[in-house]
Amino acid sequence: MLGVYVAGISGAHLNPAVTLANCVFRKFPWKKFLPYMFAQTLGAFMAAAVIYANYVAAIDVYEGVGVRTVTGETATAGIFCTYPAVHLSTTGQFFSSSPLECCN
Amino acid sequence: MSVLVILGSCLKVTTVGQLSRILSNLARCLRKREGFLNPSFICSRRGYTLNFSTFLRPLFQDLRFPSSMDSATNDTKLENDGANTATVSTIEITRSNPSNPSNEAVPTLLGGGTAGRKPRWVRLRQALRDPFSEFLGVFTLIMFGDGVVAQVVLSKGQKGDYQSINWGYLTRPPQPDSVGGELESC
Repeated sequence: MLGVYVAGISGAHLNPAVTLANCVFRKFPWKKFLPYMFAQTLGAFMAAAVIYANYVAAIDVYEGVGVRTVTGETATAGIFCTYPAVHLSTTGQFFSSSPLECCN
Repeated sequence: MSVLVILGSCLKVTTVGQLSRILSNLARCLRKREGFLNPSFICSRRGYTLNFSTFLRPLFQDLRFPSSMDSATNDTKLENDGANTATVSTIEITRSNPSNPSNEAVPTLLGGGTAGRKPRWVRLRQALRDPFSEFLGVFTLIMFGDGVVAQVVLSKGQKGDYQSINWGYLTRPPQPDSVGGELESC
């Protein structure tokens, strides 16, 4: 909600997929696609960097200095991105995420 | 250093040459014992005279700068408001006149007749407005969302749970395939 409020004047796509869908189906100008995508990606990475810088000490305490794991007991990669659950197969991932993306 | 950064961002310094010109103008103002906040404190750039009020222009972003006066009535209306011109003239673009810049300020409001073309920074702002907006939107979304996730994960679920993450993102629907990744370590 806050992101939509902040980005109101530009349409608040907040997602390159949404911008692409708008370009394809809603006659959103294609020349805006690349700047939008770049800005969205950069914003996400900058925000993740801010969060990492804020929590780096806590992460060090949580799983050790210099140790960063994706899976396991003390995995912290899930803070900044999402991974499929262990029980999910490739087909399951496809069918669980593609309808969501289409609905977006 | 921070003072320099603030000063640079206020003056919209983009190039080293521009910085040197601004500094030379600053020295000239010092020699002539003029105040820095004097409107005659100018930094000339590309034929324009950017006086101090130029730096305040972002505050008046809603006031458009018509590149070409599309209606004469608008022009006459502006000239009729001569009394206001003195106060509103803080947002005008005047021709560069190094000898006597403040007195020779052309009274065309909002740079209508003289400019013909907006300064580069204004054009850049207008061109990049939407990407900046998207940047800030995604920045806000991810910062709050990831902050909540970090708090939940790093506190081992003591300071928040699955619903906290939903509140943190607030726009993101729960995705069944990604739930495991976020909550695996909780």
